[in-house]
Amino acid sequence: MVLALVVLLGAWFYGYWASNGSASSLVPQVLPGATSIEQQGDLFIGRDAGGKVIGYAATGEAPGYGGPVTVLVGVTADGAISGVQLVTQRESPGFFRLVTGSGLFDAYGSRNAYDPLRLGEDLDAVSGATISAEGVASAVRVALREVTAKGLDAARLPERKRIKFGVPEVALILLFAAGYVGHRVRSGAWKRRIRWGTLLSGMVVLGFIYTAPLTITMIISLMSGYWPDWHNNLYWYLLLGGILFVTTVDAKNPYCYWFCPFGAVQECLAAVSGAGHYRPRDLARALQWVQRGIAVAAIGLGLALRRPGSASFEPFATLFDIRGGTVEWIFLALILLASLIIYRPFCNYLCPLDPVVDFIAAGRRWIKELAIKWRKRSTTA
Amino acid sequence: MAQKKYDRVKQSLLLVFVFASVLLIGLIWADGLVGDAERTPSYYRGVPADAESTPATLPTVTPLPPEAMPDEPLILPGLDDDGA
Repeated sequence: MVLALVVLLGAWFYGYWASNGSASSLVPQVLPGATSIEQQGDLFIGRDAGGKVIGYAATGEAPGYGGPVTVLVGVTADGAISGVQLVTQRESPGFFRLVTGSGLFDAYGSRNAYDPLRLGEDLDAVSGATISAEGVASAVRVALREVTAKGLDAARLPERKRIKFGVPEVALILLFAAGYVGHRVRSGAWKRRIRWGTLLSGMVVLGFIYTAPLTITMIISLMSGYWPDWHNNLYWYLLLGGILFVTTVDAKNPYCYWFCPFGAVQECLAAVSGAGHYRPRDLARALQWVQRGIAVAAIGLGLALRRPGSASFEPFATLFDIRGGTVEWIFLALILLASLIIYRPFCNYLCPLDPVVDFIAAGRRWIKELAIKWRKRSTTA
Repeated sequence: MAQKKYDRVKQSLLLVFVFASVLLIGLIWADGLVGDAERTPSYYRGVPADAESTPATLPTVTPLPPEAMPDEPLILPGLDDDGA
């Protein structure tokens, strides 16, 4: 536990120290034709050989799935967008490839700084990478607001934030509630029924329909301080907050056993094949350390690089979105095949979330023991 | 005896599963860490025909004169973020 803490703290500080980048070297690319560029505050001003202003550029930042997305946007003096350049992103590579391949960046070619530039309105939505694409589009709008406010004659108005509360959020609250009730039901038969109900609902709604399971990316984003805007990401707060709250206060894991969509898929396969728990006594300890090692490596990697999405390896998107590279498909096939022989092989031997929950539980025990010792000492004194 | 043999096979299969999975996880991480260049997309309008061929110099930082910028940005009436 101490070693894990040292590694993670080291990774956190390294990531904090190494993650500061600058966009100024990219400015000439988004202001084509400029022969000199001057920086005034956050605004870059491009001039031609005669000293005439030909355009402005600024960076914009908005939350994506794994952390903030930063873009540099250039605008000509008459308000046409002259260039959009990605500066940094912290998304899962698979998700961001969808954004890259969607033509979203090229779509800014014929646009003006005062256009709405919203996905699903005047820009095509990116299926399968909605949050990442929204991060890019929002960051472009933030940059344009800077440019229009300080460079051009009129500013874009501040954005009206709408709270996103829909089916996934309602389903999540209901699943937490059902799990809470299920934990307390004494009848074994009813407990099993409730559990199968939550598992199947989680698999269909949070898995196949919305592809919104808990991922290690969310944990790393939380630890990195990349907390998304709550208006658009209430689900993120409900899921992480609910799990952390119940695990800390009640010492119970409300997610994995009750409504993890990928766990449900493995459990369905086990129910079909009759696969049972398998944890050989002489290997159990070593395999537990392998799982913990994977979790520490994933979190350490995500924190050190400050790219939470890069550390994710869970095959959730491959299964629920039917999307992934060759390696991801082989990995998924291996897990599904193993699920026919061993009960929940991914959850029991590989999932990085299980050690995280164990870590919280160990911390909780440690604090409780300290509190008891302190109380004893104060009563004897 | 047969049970012992079966357990040994199952244990070996489990070890193969874990080892292969760790290898695949390593490959997934490697894929996520390399090839950054192809994942930094951009759109550029292209250099105007009448522009000088000299590339732009990197920005020179100029302290912002207080009188150069208005306190409040001008907002055109009737123009909002939705472009309405």
